[in-house]
Amino acid sequence: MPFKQYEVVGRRQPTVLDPAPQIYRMRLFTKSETQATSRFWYFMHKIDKMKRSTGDILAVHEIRERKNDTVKNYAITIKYNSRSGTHNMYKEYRDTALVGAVEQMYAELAGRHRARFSSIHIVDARVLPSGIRATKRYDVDEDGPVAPVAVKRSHMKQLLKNKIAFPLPHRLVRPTSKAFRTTFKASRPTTFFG
Amino acid sequence: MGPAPARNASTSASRALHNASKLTASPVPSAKMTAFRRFVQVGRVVLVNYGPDEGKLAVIVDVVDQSRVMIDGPSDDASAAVRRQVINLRRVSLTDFALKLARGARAKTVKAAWAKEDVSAKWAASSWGQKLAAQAAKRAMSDKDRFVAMLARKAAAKKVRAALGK
Repeated sequence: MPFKQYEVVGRRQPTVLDPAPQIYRMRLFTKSETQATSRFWYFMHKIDKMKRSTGDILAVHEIRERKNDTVKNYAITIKYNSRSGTHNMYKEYRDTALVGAVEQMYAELAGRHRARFSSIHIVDARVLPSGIRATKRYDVDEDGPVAPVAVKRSHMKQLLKNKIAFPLPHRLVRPTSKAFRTTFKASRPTTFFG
Repeated sequence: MGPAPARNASTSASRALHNASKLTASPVPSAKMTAFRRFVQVGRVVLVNYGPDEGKLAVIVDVVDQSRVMIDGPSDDASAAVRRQVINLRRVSLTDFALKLARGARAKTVKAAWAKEDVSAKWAASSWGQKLAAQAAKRAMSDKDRFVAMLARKAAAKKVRAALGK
């Protein structure tokens, strides 16, 4: 089941003392609407003295991205609890949609740090500039006192080169369908395909 | 099936030489990489070898990361067209052909470059393309086709025997 992006709007229930309570809006990456509202209350509880039984959900929408056939650079800032402490992290990914980048982040955190969904908080998830601005060097005269947002990680920068080219040095020919898979081969497979 | 030099080539060096003459626009990025002729690069024509588009040709229009690329396979024939999509490199094979494309080229540009280089015809003429076409033709044969082929084979064998005086 893929991740989706939801926008949840909620507030504390109006009371006589507070007839117009503050309204909050939150962007959440979850797999369902139910999970999104649940997550909304989880975070709201940390921010303000609010809980589900004394609150209202005013709206839940899925945020969809319009165009999914261009590759973009994404940056995700997270906070996660490991077995020994809390860590902040900044990660960059390339994908066609923000939810894809979030999916990659959860997979990486699970693989590298054994961190699950429940122990990860996404602090920020945004699109980075692409093209020439993605790796533009900071120039005070041109850019002003604040450095522009750019791709930071070297594993990302290497993919941004305009004339990117790399070989596939070792390949195993895959059967064209799962039905043709075999455990044993009659002959040693070729792995070099230039 | 394939051109004679390819069949007779016993060393990889002679095979590389033969294929090098067929390259359309395949720049070699650096001297270090001369052992390789096919690169994951924008414009590289690939053959999809797994999944719903198996057996179709497409071209790399963008590199997502080290294992995934975005491909697009323009064709007037809907059954040969490949929708623009991100695909894992494990699901494609790199071919000798490369088009001149800018990163993230639009469908229209890709189609024009494809037509200009005449990729479909070049592929059909290549030994790889011919091999796949022959396999497909054989798979499509009916019982009668196989019977006719058998008769033709017998007739040919008879002539060979007669010519050899046996």
